[in-house]
Amino acid sequence: MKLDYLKTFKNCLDEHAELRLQQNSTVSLALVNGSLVRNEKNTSSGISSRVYKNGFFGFASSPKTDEKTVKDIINKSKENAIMLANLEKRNKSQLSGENFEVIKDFSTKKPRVSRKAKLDFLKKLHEYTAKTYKDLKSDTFVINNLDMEKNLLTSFGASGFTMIPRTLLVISLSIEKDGNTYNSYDVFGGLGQYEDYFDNPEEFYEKIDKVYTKVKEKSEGVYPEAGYKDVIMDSKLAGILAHEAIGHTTEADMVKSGSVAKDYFGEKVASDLINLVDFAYEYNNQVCPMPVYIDDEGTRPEDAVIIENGILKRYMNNKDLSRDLNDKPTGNARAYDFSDEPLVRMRNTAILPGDDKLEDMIASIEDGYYLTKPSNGQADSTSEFMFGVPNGYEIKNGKLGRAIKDTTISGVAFDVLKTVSMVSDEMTWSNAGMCGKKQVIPVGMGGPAIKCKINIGGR
Amino acid sequence: MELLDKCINLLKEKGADKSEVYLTKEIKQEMNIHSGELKLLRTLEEYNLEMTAIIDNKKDTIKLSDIDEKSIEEAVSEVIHNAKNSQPDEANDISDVILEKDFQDKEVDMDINMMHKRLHNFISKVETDYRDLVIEEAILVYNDKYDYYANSNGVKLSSNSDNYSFFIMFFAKKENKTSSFNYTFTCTKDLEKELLELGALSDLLEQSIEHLEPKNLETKKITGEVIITPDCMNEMLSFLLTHLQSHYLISNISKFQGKLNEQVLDDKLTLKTEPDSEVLANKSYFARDGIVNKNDYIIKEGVLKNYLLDLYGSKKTGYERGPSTGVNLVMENGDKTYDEMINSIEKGIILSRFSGGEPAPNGDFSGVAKNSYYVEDGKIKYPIKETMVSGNLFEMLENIVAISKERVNNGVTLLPYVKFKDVTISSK
Repeated sequence: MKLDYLKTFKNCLDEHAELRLQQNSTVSLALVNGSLVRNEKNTSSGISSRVYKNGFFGFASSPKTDEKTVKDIINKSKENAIMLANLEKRNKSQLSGENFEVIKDFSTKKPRVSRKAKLDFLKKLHEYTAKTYKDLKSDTFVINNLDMEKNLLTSFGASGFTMIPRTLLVISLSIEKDGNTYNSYDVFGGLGQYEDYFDNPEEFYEKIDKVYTKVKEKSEGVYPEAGYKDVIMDSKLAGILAHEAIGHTTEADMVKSGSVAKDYFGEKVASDLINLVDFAYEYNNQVCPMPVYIDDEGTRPEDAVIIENGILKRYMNNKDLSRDLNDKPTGNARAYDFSDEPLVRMRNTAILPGDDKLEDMIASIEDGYYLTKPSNGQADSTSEFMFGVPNGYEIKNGKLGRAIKDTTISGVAFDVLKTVSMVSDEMTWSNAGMCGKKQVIPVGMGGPAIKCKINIGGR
Repeated sequence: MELLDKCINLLKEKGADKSEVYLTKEIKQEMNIHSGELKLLRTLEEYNLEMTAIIDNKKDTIKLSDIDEKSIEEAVSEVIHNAKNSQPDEANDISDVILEKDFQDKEVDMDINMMHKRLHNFISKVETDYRDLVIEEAILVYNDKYDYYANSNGVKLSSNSDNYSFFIMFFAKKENKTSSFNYTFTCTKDLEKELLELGALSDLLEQSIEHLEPKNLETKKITGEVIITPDCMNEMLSFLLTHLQSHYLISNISKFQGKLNEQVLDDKLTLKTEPDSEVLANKSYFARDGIVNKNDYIIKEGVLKNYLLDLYGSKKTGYERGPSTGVNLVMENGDKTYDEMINSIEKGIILSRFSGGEPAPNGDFSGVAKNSYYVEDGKIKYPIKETMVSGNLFEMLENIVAISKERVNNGVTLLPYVKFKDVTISSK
């Protein structure tokens, strides 16, 4: 086992150090209008070492993992930490750590299938689409798989082997109307490998039908009226709201810098109906989309309850920043590639469900919008956020109306959350989130539908 | 190059009709500021070996970072197996522009003490001249990059270029007031200048401090003029480029399908790709398809001169392979000064950062105007908050009001300020 190999270097970790042996393996196939435009595998693997000295980090990495290289990398990271400490001439006490071991492997239990079988699966989806929907301008089917295999050893004795795979199928359809092209897409899959989700193409025909309905509706839809409106954000939007709007401002590095969340600690920042948690690996005894059982500093992760009944309770942190914030580490230090250093990152961030029924929520709005799907999103230090909204409907007199064309919503999170007046009793997870912050990293996002007031772009 | 020859021979022995290999080697030395403190020194040596095999017009590509003999042999067997089981496509091909060439940029030496000095001076200057500014994250990197390409037709290309890059993310904080964050990236050949002198950095820091006290628009909704700054223009152009690149053209959803040499945008707009630019620090001598990039027009006075297709996209669509796939953008400057452009605005905004949803394929976009200013009767009135802009990017680019004389060089792009009309601006 690679972890056993890693442990042979335990005696070399004479400073506060982390040693990580990691392999990210991705397979990506893309079929555009029946043509295979991408068919590739990428394996990124190697060793990295990070050393902490007097308040400074030194880091080094190499794709080579032989004994000499590993020792050189440990020494180089140590040299870097010492060099920075000497250049800066400051001193801060050392950090502490736990001694425990974690082994978690989410590899599929099913027999592995060939690349050809995956291609055949995509071709069947295309054939069904081309045969059923003659008016489409373009159809794209993409399979992306990421197997993230990490082995970690710290100078405190924490060690772990985790294999966390994620496999996604993207169905994207385009249609032309009045000289304009409209697109709609959906993403399926999540934690696991290809075999765990995609053995039968026929199960996805109905999902293709739904994406077609959405793009057709959108092409015939209306622009929303720009302004401050009553909206129902469906569960998929509540998840990205949890992540973008609140999550980022409550990451300890943002807080230390002075994000607006720093000013509101212990204060009421949302309606009483709002509870927001960054889950480490489980919610309601179910494994979350991106479980973290040991973080990349060797901390045993715990759930971070960020907002409880509307009160801002906690930030997400790492070892160094937890000390600055007088807290204990939450286990949010995560790195994407072997050559990346751990940063404070979210794991599975969710707004918890309430008691309301979605149909009652829609019925309660006289003039507003029901927003069903987010695309990209971005947060701000002020907690002002935005997300793209590719699909949604008008609500007129409590009833769903016409579909809307692509738009964007925005607001100041801590203001918007105070306007939340209803929270649905159903919660769903989005399994496809990728968060960008120096490095990209897969995250889980979840939530119920919520009713609030928000700024919507349009004409 | 020996390694690449070995890979090509192995791929041929195992049954590839055609093959190509691309190897990058990058050495990086990186200093990081987190939350205002110099915190991390990072040394990286990275390899990426990309091998493509084509058998009976069927193609597969494999990439790996560990390039020892055993890993390469395993990867060759895997790529051959997967190519045999792939889907035939006559557009799968490799470059036949037979050339053996080594490109060498002017070399600079990595100077760790100078990196530290420049960062330290930057932190000190911010503390004295921009007192309310918070450096959330700053990364100064020395990059030394080697690229090698070879294929079974005998093409052999190599290049080496090195430079420094600087990324910074920042905002202002005073008592309980917090501005929006902003960020910028610059690439420079050496560290002769202080970091504050790079790109538009000093202006952007100043703007963040002014945004400690932004206002909502007094009129809730206007249709007005918008000046997009060079940093923001960079993001807007990336959307335009998607319509000229392989994916959109192959998918037949590009706005510019079949429009080569036609007037597609306003005649004030001239946009070039300059992979081997005299003025930009970044170089991109050749692409992953083994074809040498060249400096050329993308749009000339509004006329579409080139698509930005790679070799596969070119073969698939029947259009010529582009001068590049869209690197190092240079927009020609106009005849108005930035001040003159502001002076002629009746009602509108200066858009410094756009935080928005991805524009729809038809060009419709909407998003939040960040770090932006309200302009009325030719004067900058106040910094704005919670303001959304929406419009259609193609319609805007077809009706450009003015382009500035001034341009900002961030080492990767050289762009002016551009003024548009009829943009919807709405506030809470």
